[in-house]
Amino acid sequence: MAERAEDAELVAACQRGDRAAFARLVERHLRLAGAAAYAVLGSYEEAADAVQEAFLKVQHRLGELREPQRFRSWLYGLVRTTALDRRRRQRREPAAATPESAALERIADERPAVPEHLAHAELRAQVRRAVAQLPASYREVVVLKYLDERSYEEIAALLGESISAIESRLHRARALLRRQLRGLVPEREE
Amino acid sequence: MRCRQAKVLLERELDGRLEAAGRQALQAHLQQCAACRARGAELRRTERLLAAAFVDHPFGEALAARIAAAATAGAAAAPTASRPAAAGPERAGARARVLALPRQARRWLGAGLAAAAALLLVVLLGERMRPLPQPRGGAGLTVARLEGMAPTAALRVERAGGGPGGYLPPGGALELGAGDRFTVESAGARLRFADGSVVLVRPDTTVRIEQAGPGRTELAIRDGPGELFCAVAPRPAGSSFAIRTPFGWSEVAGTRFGVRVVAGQAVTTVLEGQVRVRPLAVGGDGGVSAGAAPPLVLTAGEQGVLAAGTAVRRRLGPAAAAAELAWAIGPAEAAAGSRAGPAAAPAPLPQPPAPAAGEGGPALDLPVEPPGSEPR
Repeated sequence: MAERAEDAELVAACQRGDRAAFARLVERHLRLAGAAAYAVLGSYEEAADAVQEAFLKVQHRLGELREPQRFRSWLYGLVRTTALDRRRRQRREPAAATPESAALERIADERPAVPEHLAHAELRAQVRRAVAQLPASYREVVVLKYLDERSYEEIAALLGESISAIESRLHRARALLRRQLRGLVPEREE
Repeated sequence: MRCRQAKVLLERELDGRLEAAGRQALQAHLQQCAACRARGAELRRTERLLAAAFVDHPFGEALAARIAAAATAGAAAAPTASRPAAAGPERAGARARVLALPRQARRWLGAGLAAAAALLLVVLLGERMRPLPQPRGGAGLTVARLEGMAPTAALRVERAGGGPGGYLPPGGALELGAGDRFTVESAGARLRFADGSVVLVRPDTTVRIEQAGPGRTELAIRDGPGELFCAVAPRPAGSSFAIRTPFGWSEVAGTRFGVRVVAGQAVTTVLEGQVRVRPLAVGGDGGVSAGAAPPLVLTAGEQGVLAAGTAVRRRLGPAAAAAELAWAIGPAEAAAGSRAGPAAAPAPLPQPPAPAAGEGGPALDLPVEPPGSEPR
């Protein structure tokens, strides 16, 4: 596959110390890495920090990668582990509300007079909160599909599962979300 | 077709995975079944919500730039594997000790044993003042030098990528780079940049160095409230200096301004030059400003308030702006309204340190941006 071959070339260039190649690798896979971290942490800010931490690990550990053409799966695992470590640390040292949740609380306090674009932002945040409530395996598929916009085939390849397994997980996730999100958008929009 | 089958086909249609024959069969069923039509409508609504839920994700150019900056700093620093293995457990142990003590102390204090409180204080101070393991060395790796504004300053530093952090020793200084974060716990801190720019940071403020490349320096207050004051030297074309808050950015070319983050808003007060404030959409903290109001360019004597995706201008006038920033510029300049000429010297408040050897005179002596120049 061309994408895998290109990854392998970029990995080889990185191993020779080519910084531009590293930047290209980051650019190519940033959104996937973001989805992997977000699926675990459920916060943009935390996920961005985890992604940065994971790419710094990538920088030091690229030499350990035996099959450079499998960089994408390797990165996905590395980001996921990094995010899980962060979550463990957070549970030990619980943090205050995230800026995102704090901002939303403020909006709730400041009603009415919420401009339309803010209402949309709030709606998006509500949907993301519903996604965060899903069981982990459903959440992962939902985030890969809607944040990283991966196809069923790509998600299946990434997670090493069958397409029908991914399809069934996504259908169940949607059923749960449909119940949770009922009422967020008026039916007259249909 | 039964409803159960239609349910599966509805989802496949939603994903664009339904072939023509299936679509026809589904349409035929939907014409007769109101329940499945309602289900289809609800599915499409949910799908639209999900499709829009992540449009403001932060995994784009700004984060890529941040990672590139951190990677550049990291590549030049010692590899992670060579860090002393003892650092982690040692830190964990120290933390555990501090966390464990208050429970005992509460019990002892309840029994009226003041000596136990004294012991607790000593142990806590011992942890607070534990020096940082190793200052980062090597020219070119760092962008700023962090120092306390008084010998009593407590500055906690966290290194990029989870490297060893800790408290700055009293009277000490430390070179910081991209990805590093520090918290001013008391007495204020001063961050000096190689180009002469200076940032004064008030107590109870956490600052992270987001970007530190030749093209852009970006500091962030995004871990709760905080306040800082920037005296930014004029920068070369294409280079910018920005303060990021949960509500947006304050960006300058060369000027003096303050940023205060309080509940629900970030207030930028401009003393000299111009500052562009750019709001961030709610829920979009991470570099995406889509959906937010357009940026404002503030001039001297103006204040910009960023809150919930909006930017509002307030005209304070030079005297009120100077009064607002009196903690940083000193009472004399605040009383005068604003600095009269270039190269006057704001006093390093809130608690001026004893001048270091060779430093001499009041702290800052910065060139001023020519009037009328645009921020970049």
